[in-house]
Amino acid sequence: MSNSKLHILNWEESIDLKAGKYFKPTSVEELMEIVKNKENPSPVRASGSRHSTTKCGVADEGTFVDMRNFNKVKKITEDTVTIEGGCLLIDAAKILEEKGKQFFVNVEIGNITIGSAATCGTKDASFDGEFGQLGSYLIEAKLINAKGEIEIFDENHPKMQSLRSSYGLFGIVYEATFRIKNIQCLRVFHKTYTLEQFVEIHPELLKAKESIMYYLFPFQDKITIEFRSYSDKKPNKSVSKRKWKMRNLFWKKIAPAYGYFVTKYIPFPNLQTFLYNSFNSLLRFLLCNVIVSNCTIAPDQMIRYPEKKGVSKYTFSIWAFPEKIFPEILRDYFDFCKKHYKETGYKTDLLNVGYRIAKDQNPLFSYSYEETVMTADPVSTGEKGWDEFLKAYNEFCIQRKGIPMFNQSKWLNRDLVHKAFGLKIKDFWKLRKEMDPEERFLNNYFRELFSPDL
Amino acid sequence: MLLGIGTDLVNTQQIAKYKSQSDFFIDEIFTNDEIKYCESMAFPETHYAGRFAAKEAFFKALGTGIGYGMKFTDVEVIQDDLGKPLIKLHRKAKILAEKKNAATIHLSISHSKTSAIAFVVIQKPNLEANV
Repeated sequence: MSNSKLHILNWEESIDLKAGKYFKPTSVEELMEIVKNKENPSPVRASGSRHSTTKCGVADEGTFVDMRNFNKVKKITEDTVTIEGGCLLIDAAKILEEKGKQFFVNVEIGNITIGSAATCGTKDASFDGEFGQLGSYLIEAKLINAKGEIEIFDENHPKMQSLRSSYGLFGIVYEATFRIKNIQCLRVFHKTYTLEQFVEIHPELLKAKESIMYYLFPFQDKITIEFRSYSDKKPNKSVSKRKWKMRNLFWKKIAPAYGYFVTKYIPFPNLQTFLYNSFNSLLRFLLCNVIVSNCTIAPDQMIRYPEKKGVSKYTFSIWAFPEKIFPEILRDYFDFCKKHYKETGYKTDLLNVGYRIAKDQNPLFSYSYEETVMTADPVSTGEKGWDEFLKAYNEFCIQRKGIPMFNQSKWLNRDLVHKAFGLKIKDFWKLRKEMDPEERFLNNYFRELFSPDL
Repeated sequence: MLLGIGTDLVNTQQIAKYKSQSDFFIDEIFTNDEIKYCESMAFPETHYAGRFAAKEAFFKALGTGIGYGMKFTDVEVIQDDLGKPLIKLHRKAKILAEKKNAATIHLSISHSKTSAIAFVVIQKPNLEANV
C-alpha cells in the first residue's frame, strides 16, 4: 500500500517525518521490494511508534515504511525471544510475562517497537551486573539491506556493535532476537534527599546493588531516588500490580495534564511556581509512601501511551555524565535551571528524571561506553521556551563532557556530536558506507551530524 | 545586495590526521578535480584545508550550515585562469542557493603552514541596477 506526500508527525507532534511515499508492508518480500525498487525515493526510513524526539526518523520526502504490521512474537525459548520488528515492546513483554519470562531492560515507553529497541538508544536504570539498554541484549537481527536482500547479524558479526547503534542506516530490521530471563519479584522503594544529602550519600550510592532511577526537583534542591532490586522469589499471587499502575497513571495522564494546564492557563509566575512546587511535594509524598512494594514485576513499569498524544503529551531530552562527577553536575544543573528561569522566565513544567546506567560497550554509540553514567533528563509538556531551554542545556552538557542520544537528545548538531563521540563517528561512517554505498537509508539528520568536523 | 557572509579556519594537521585515519574521508569531502589539484601540490594538506574551509564558509554564508541534504562534494572549489579560487555548486547546494536567490559568490582563501582560512560572501541580484 502506498500513498504520496503524507504529513506524518512524530508522537509529540513536533516533527514532520516528511514521507514522500508511504508503505505499510505485511511481508518480508514486500519489504524487500520496497527497498529494491528505485522508484521509491531515498532515503528509505522505517518507522514504529514515532516516539523519538529528534529528526532521526525523518524521511526527507523519501520512502516512509510503517513497520507496525510486523507485530508477532515468533519464538520463545528458555533464554531468548524472537520478535518481529514492528511489535511493541509492551505487547511482547505481556506475552513473555504469561510464560514466566521478562526482558532484561523494561523501558517506560512501552510503545517502542522491536526494530527500534534493536538498533536505537534506549534507557533504564541498570540492575547489578546488567546493562541499561535493550540493544545490548540483542543477539540476532534479520534485516533488509540496501540491496533489498535479507542479511542476518548474529552476536559474532563484526558489525553487530555498530548495528546496535545504527538507527536504520544499515537496513530495516524486520526480526530480532533478544536474551530474556525468568520473571522475578522486583522490590521498589523511594527516598527523598536534599541536594546536600545526596552529595553526602553519593559514594554509598556508587556501591549500591540496587538500580537507581531518580526524580529531580531543581527549584527545590531535592532528589527522590527510586531503588529497585530483584529478589530470588518467584512472583506469586501477592504480586502488586497496583503500585506501578498508579505511578504510570501519573506519568501517562495526571502529571502531563497538570503541567500543561498550569503552563497554559496560569499567567502569574509566582502562582505557577507555587502550583508546581505543591504538586511536586505531593508526588514526593506518594512516591515515598505509596509506591513501595516487596513484590512487583518489571514489565508493569512499562507505559502504553495512546496512539494520539492527547493529554498524555510529554517530551524530554537526555544527556549522560560520568557517575563519579554527578554530584557536581547535579549542583550545576540545578543552578543552570534557576539561572535560565531568571533570564528567560522558562522552567520545565514536569518532573525531571535521571538514571544510573552501567558501563556498556555493546552498542557503539552507547552513552555509557567509557564508564558508568548518571543522566539528567529534563522533561516538559513542550510548551513555549522548551526548545530554547534544550539548546542552552546542550551547551551546558557538552561543556561537562556529557554524552547524548541521537533519538532522544533534541537539537543536536555536528559540533556537539563530534565532541561527544569523537573517532567513533568515523568508524561508524566507514561501516555505514560499506553497508549502504548508495545512501539508500541515509537521511539529512544523520548526514549532517556525521559530516566531518575539523 | 548581501545574502550572507561566512568564514572558517581549519588546522592543517587536523586534515592530515583525518586523512591518515580514514581512507574514505577525502572522497567524502572533495571532488575528483579537487583531489587531483591538491595532490599535485607540494603540501596537499594545506590545499585540502583551504578547500575544506571554503566549503564550510559557504554553508555558513548560505545560512544553513551543512544539512538540508547537501554534501561537501556539492560545493567545489575551482580556479579561474589567473588562479583565483571560485565556488562551483552542484546538486542540492545549487538548488538551495537558487532557492535563496544567490547570484554571486565571492571566495578568498589564505593559508599558512599550520592553518587555512576562507571567507565567502554571497550576493543576491542587484535589483537597483535593473531599475
